[in-house]
Order: sequence, then structure tokens, then C-alpha cells
Amino acid sequence: MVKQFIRLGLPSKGRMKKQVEEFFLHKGLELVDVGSSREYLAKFKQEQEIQIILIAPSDIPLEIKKANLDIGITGRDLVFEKIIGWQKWMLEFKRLNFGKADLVLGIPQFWIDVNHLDDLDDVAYLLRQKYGQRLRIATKYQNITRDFLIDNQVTNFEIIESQGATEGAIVNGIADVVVDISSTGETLKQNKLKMIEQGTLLRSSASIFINSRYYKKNKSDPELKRFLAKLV
Amino acid sequence: MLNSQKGIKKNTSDFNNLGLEINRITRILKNAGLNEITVPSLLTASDLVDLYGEDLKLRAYTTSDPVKGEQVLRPDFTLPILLKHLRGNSLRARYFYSGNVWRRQNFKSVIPNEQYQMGFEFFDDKKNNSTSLDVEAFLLINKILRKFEVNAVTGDVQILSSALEDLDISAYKKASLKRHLWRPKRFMQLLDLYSDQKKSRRNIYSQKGTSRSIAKNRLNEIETAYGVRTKEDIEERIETLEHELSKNLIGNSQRDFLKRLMQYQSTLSDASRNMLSLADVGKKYRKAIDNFESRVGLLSEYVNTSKIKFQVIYGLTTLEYYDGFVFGFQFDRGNYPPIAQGGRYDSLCNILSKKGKSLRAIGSMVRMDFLN
Repeated sequence: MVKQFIRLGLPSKGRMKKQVEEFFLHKGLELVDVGSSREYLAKFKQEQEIQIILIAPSDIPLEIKKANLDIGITGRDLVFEKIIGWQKWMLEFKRLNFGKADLVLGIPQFWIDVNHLDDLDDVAYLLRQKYGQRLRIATKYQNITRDFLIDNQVTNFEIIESQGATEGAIVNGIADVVVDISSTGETLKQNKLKMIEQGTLLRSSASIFINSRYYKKNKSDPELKRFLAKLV
Repeated sequence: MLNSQKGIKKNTSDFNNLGLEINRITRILKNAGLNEITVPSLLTASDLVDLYGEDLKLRAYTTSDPVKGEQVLRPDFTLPILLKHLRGNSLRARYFYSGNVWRRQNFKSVIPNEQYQMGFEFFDDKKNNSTSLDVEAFLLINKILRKFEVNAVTGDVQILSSALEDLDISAYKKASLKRHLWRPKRFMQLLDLYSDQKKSRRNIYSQKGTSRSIAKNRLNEIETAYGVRTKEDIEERIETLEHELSKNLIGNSQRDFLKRLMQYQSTLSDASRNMLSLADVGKKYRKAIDNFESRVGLLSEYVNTSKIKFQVIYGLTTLEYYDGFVFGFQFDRGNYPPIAQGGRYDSLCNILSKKGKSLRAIGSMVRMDFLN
């Protein structure tokens, strides 16, 4: 039988790419490109059994689900948003100490009466009563937002899909509030938005995900065990 | 072939045993004088979205059509049947239905995404007493499921909402509590917030210790107010909250009574006596219990009510639009969702019907896939 390499998906760009490289270096694994940089393939100097595929962080969740990757490192927010019922397809092996960002509700600062998620629910109801429209929430993270608000029994809202510059949606009159990633809260402030109590939907960071089927089949494979042990 | 199965034809070979069950239940429903009603499988989303909100997108399969706009695969029968009935002129009607519904399910769920449901909806003039139709609906499902080993559970949201009505508090507090009846977590939080001995506090202003005049000044300082909400809206809400959270609060005994009521469960036969002993009761609560009692009285002529469970808030979170008598049937064994569920949804009729139509309704469905 031909020996199967472990297929590891890593971010091909952005800040997370650098952080992942540093993380592995710290574990004694040095990443080196294979072929031209356009092929998006890499290897560890110290581990020949692992085939590294460099792809966009946002594509990693789906590729793990489709079993094109055995293991992947990407943001938790991306996995939770892109793969509904992700637990069925993959397991979260280890949360990592970088790529930290919170997914939060951003509320206009001048809504001085809204300081808690309860207030937001109340205001959503009032908007519906008075203006006949739902509270419009602009976000890239539709699924997480819908789950979170329904779980927390908030009603009378409507999600507006926004693929970028979400904070601007309020000033442009497209939405009333936003849900967006915030690491420091600075961008929110610049856009005259604020956070509220119980308004954090997810504390995100980078994390190691493993395809569940692959893990079940190979968890006693010495190569895999040795590699995973290195990451802990 | 058994005598009882004579004359039963299989509907289609796809359904196997299900075909026999569909025919058996169809006969029961037709014998009870119900007429079959059909509604399309593909519905216009905007008809439903107003009622369901974002929940619809979470549960139903939606698709877009460049000409017809957003479409949705029928997630249940009740709402499209009600809408169809409202387009007609008659008030009273007794329909039954049979067909597939499609709902997204949690990955752990045992309920299939495509499930076959049969059920019925009774519409009636609001002037008529609701008790006999409540009982008839329950007995009809009871008859359909008689050959299976099932348990019945009942509930009555009316009891809770009438207890709320009796409270000596502002219309604002009543309305906001009532609005949250279907969401127990939020209801309990509000109940604490509106009580004498506050367990949760809501800070009205961005900064603790701010008073209304300071808040007002701060509002005036803000130059860029954008969006639908105006400064006046915000000011008005602050004023209302300040008033409501400090005055005319719910007494401890009343709050405890409501909490006990929310947790109350017993057999159907014991319930009314026990619920009356929970507190010094008001007029509307008394009336709801009377109503409940006459329903149990009528039911006890046909079934053993000491074997039927009762829980005030039964199905409150899952039976979204029910607001009176509700019931469910569960298999004795195994970890299945209720095999049948139903209840009264008068307020939904109120919301959707044109002014002047005094309509009330009760309905129920059976999850046919679990009868196999």
C-alpha cells in the first residue's frame, strides 16, 4: 500500500500565515516552500510525512469538511460560520494562542439607552411597533449571528448580508446595528459604535481542526500521533 | 388480510406501510366530517417571513426565483391553510391535510428533513364556546393513535397569561411580559427586573449614576444621529424605563406565584384544584381555571384524565403560535420527539385576519414517519 501523507491545510496569506509559521517554529518545525511559490505547496524541514497545502483561511473549513484536508489551522469564526453543524464533520483539536478576535454587536453610540442585549431586544420590538420594520443587523457572519440571537431569545430582527466595510452600513442607512470582528474595539469607536453587555457572540482565535472521519480511522497511526503530540 | 384492513388501498408503493396508515387516518378524518384541503409545497416567503422572522431562515428551506421572489418549501401546514381559509368568506370549517413538510434539522435530530405529516385545522366563530372543539381535537388524535402505546401531555398557556392580566401593574409591564411568554428565559429575567426585590438590574444609561437630565444633555450634544431611531425615541424610552423600573413593581408573592405556575405540573385530573390553591386568585385567572375545568370535565367523559399529564407551560417554546389549550402525544418508549402535537391559536387568527372577522382555531398534526 502506498503510504498516505497527512494533508495539512495552512493559511496562505495574511497575518495568520506569519503567526502559524511562528507557532510551528516554536514547536521545532520549519516551513519551507516546495516548488514555486505559486504552487502553494510547502513542507516541514523536519517532517517529511506531511504534505502542506497553503490556501485561503476562509476556504480551509470547507476543505476539511470535504476531506480534501485531514487537518487545518484557521479561525474558529470561519469554521462556525461556514460549516453549519461543523461538529458532524470535524473536531476541534486545540485552540491556539493567536488570531484572537471577538465577534461583537456594534451599536450606535448615541443609543445611550442600549447597554445590554435585553435592551436591544426591547428596541427591536419598539422599532417594529413604531416603524413597522425589524432591527436590521449587517454582518458577514449570518449563521453565527442568527444562531446567537435565537439562542438568546432576541426577536424582531433581520439580517442584512454585508461582505465588507460592515461598520459603514449604519451610516449608509442600510442597517441599524452591526455584528463584526473586533480585536481592540478601535474600528468600532472610529465608526461611532459601541459594544454592549452580553453582546459578544464568539471569542475567536486560530484553532486546529481535524476531519472527524480521518481522525477516527487514523487515530492510532503512529505518524499522526507523533505529529499531534508535537502540537500540544 | 384482516377485516379491518379490507378496502384499504396502498397509496403509492413509495410509502409502503405508511400508505396503509395514510389511508386508515384519512378514513377516520373523513368519517369525522372533515374535508381535505391542499396547499402548494412551494410558498411565497414574504407571506411567512413576517410571522416567523429570521427563524424561518433557520428552519425552512428557502430559494430564490428571479420572477416570483423568494420562495420557501412548506415548513408546516397550519399557516398556509390559515391564509387560504382567510381568503374565503366562511368562518367555520373543518379541514384535514396530508403531505410533506421540509425543515432543516439539527445534525443530532432524529426528525427527517423531509417528513410526512397528516393533520387537521378547525376554524370557528369566536362567539362559540371553544371547549367542545378543544376536546374534539384531542379525541380525534387520541383515536388516530389508539393502536400505539402513547402518552398524552397537555398544557394551557391561557392560565399563565390570565394570571398576568390579573396583576396590578402597568399595561407596559403586562404587555412586555406577555410578549415574552414564549421565551421562558427572557420572561424570568423580566419578571425579576420588574419585581420589588430586584435580582437583575438594568442600567438605563451608558454611565452608572447618570440621571435623566444628564442623559438628555448628552443626547443633545450628539450631532450625528443617523438611522431610523430618533433622539426623541431614545428619550422616550429612557423616560418609560425610568418610570417602569422604579414604580408599581410586582410584589414578591405575586412573582413567586407566577414562578410556581410556570413550573406547575401534575395529572390533568388534579390540576385545577391545585392551581387554585397556589394563590389568592384574581378574576381572569379564576375564569381561565373555570374554562380549564369544563374542558377537563368534558374530556373525562371519554378518557381517563388521571392518566394524562398536565404542565402549564407544556410546549411553550416549540409550539410557537399556540396560545391556549395545547397537547402532545409521546411514545411510551424510546427517545422520539412528540408523535403528534396540536393546540389552539386564536391570536394568530387575530393578527392575520381582516378587521371584523371573529375567527378562532385549533389544529393538530401527526408525524407519520414515526408510525412505521
